[in-house]
Amino acid sequence: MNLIEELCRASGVSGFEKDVASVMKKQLQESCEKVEEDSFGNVIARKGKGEKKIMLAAHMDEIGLMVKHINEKGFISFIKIGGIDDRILLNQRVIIKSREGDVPGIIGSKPPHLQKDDERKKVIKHGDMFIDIGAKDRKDADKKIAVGDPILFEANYGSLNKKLFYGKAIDNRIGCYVMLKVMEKLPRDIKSTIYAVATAQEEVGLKGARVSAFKLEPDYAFAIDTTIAGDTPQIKENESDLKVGEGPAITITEASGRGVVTHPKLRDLLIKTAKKHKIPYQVDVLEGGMTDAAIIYMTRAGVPSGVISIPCRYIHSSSGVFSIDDVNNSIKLLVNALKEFK
Amino acid sequence: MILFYLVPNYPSAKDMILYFYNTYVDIVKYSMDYLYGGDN
Repeated sequence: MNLIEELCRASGVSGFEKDVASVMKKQLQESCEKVEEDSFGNVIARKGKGEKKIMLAAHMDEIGLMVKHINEKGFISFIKIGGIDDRILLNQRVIIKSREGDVPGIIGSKPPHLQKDDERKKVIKHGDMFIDIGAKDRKDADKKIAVGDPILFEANYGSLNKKLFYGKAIDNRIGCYVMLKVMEKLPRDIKSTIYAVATAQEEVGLKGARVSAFKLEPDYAFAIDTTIAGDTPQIKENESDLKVGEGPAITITEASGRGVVTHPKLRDLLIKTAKKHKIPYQVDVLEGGMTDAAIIYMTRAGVPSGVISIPCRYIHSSSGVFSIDDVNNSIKLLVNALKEFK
Repeated sequence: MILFYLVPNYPSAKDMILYFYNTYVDIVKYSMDYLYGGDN
């Protein structure tokens, strides 16, 4: 199993990142001088001893669900953790991370044979769905799971061709992978101090980035995340013209300016570095999403921040699709950009 | 990447309606003061 697959298969619903955090810690220990886990659950690693402090942030949590109620027949109601479209939930295979171990389940659906005309046209809300774990009744379900247990999509990873890969939690295990490789490739005598932070609870409010940026007081920061590729039939060009395989995305602004507005110095540095090293790149002007950079850049007296994103198809679903070329080019771009800080 | 409306402190639709309502109330109030005399 390669490292990207290991990261995608690891579990880490927001607030329950222990499993993926252990993968991050193990990898960072091999490339960094100091690695610690803070009281919030962020994994923070340091490399270099230079005067300027640069923070890299890649969130390691993933969207998921949580057990809310178990009915008398042993079926489970759930809430959503993070931004999930109800339409992608029906009939998904899920894993409940209980104290007793992993419990597989299926989000049940009513067969089309029994649906009335109006039922076929309606989107079923997650509150009306249930998870079937094969329990005989509530007593039987209680032996396996408990209210409050996190639930994730069943792990999956594979390739569509030589360049395009798919997997669970692509948002943002791909960013985590890029950050790990950047730390591995940076020389030990780098002229600045680089902090790699695998942040917790990004998908539920950019929380890990907020507390870790406050602690580290960086001079500059880069978030490494995924973004929305617009090269599929349902997305118009003016909604997103990013394409998988055409280079990492350099963000100019997120959420129509409500998220980060990339500092011009960092924007120019990234573009100049990409041109100098002949790295393909795309420019991202994003409307509906935000990254850790949106919180880091408003920390304390303000931190000039930028974002490098890997364009992905179908983010926030059970399987996202990305190009390995974009991943490798993101690593190359960041490593060369970070060497410019003195 | 988080959906922007899940970020804490991001104004909800209700907040925005209240904001526009209060702005409207202010405009009416200051217009009335200007036309008919008031504290200003």
